[in-house]
Amino acid sequence: MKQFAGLLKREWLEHGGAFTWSPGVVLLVVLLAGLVTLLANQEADVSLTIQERQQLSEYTPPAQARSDTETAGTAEQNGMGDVSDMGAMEILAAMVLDVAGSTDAELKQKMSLLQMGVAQLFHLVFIVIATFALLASLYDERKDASVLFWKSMPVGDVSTVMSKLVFVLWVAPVVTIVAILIAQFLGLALVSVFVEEGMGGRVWAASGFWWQPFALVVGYVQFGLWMLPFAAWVMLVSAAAPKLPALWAFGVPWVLVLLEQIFFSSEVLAEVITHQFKSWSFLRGAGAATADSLNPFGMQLWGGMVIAALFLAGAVYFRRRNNEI
Amino acid sequence: MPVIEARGLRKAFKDVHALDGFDMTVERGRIVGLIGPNGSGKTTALKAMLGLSRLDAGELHVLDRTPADERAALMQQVAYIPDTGILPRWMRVRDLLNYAEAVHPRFDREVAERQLQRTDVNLNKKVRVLSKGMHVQLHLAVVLAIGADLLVLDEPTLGLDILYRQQFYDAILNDYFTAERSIVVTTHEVREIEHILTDVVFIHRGKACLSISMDQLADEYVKVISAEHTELPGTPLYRHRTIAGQESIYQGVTPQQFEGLGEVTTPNLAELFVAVVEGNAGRQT
Repeated sequence: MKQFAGLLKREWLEHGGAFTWSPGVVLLVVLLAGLVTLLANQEADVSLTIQERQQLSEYTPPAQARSDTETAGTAEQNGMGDVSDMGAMEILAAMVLDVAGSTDAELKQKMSLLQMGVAQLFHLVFIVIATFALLASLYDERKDASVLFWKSMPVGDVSTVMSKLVFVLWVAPVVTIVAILIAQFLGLALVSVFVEEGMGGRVWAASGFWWQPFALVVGYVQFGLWMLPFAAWVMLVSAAAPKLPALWAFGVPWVLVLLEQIFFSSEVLAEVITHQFKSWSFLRGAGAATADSLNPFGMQLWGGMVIAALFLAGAVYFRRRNNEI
Repeated sequence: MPVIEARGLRKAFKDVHALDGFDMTVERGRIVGLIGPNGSGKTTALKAMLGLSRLDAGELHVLDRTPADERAALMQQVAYIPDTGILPRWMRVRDLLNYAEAVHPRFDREVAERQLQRTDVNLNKKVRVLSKGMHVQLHLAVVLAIGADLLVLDEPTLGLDILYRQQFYDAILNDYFTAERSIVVTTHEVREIEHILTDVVFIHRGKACLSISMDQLADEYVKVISAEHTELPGTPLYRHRTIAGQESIYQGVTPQQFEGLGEVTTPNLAELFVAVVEGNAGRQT
């Protein structure tokens, strides 16, 4: 146990920097964007008519990861020519700040969307950094020959591989979770300052913020489980690739998907892979809304784990045999 | 029970036989030099002993373990310094010691820090900024703090200036070596380690062509420096001409029989290596 903790700490020393500064930068960007939006909205003095309010409550905000053009399109289809003239951020701000005119249920939904929107960019950046960390996990040590030092220590290859996997999937997210909570807290604080007098309390009550840490931890645990086959595959490539692990990690599945299309005219592999990535929804806090196929008792999760175990066994196999490049 | 017992080791890389029936035995309390030219199989043999590579055939036991299958357990008792700096360059010296302390049950931090105090290695520095000499000093400190039963050195002083090299072997002798511990060392600079070895194994084309203790070596081999055209008794293992005359290396003879014919000494390892490897060619001249 002391040894495994030491291994996790080693991972933290190597990759902790990237896992810390990246959500740090996102935190700054999100807060700055929030502040600018709210200030802009104040100056524009957007006051909503009852009709507009009604339209907006049916309107899907850009926080749900749609591009501006798509957003405008949706607004048009909903017959909201007037509100779509407003900038997306303005609409968002106006909607969020219109607390007095919202029912409790509406407000709850708004606050939920706000928090989700805030978290979105953090998740995305985490996934990118985590992928790079996994690609480097068993490759960089071969490149700089330090693998000979690590192997001169009484640490087994299984422990080494597992420590790297556990670190990226379930230890590193802690920093991102903390950064998200700070961003959400400050976001709600900003909103509660900018809303109508005496409405701050309703904002906090509707936000369900105090449940967020729990929801995020559960979300990342689930996401990690679903991402096991992907992470294990990337580690296998990291252990085996003679060079350019990123190319192998993404090139091989791409070629296989292509070959399947050419020779069998089917897309089974592509579907399996994209389905696995639907577990992204766990991070968006939309656990309840996820498809049945993301059921934790379903075949695909357990099948994925079996495949992950095979990939990890492969990573251990190559870690045992390969030394310096 | 020997510390290392290697019998008939074979390992090929594509069509090159790096090890071709290599034998070696290392007893406790010995310092064994594994001497051979580049590509003779030295590093391949050492890597097999450390569990870093698998053999194609042969029997290998190190401290009663099979290295390829039990590397992690073996490394509790074995330490290793190779020719290139292998310490992780992104790590700080202090973190490296923390790491070793966390994962190695025998690591004694005080020993490492005491050892480093004698050097210019700063605990807050990253390994990346250390000079090659300091890198080796740091690795040596880690190894001394582990106090392994077997120390494997593969050209450890390659690229170091003479001062560091001297300090390195002094530290190995004074701070590491005891009657309970063993060392296997390879180097190009045979002269540098000649005086500290208790045994020597010559390796050539993947085979051990001579395994002998330094004491036996002095009894077994004789070098005679004589004037050119001096008739010497018997057939030497190897003979070559020098400015001073001719040098002949004999095996299994008594020095007395050369009295009055020339200067009689014990050949050094480099000379003996050439004599053993080129022995046949030498006899013909």
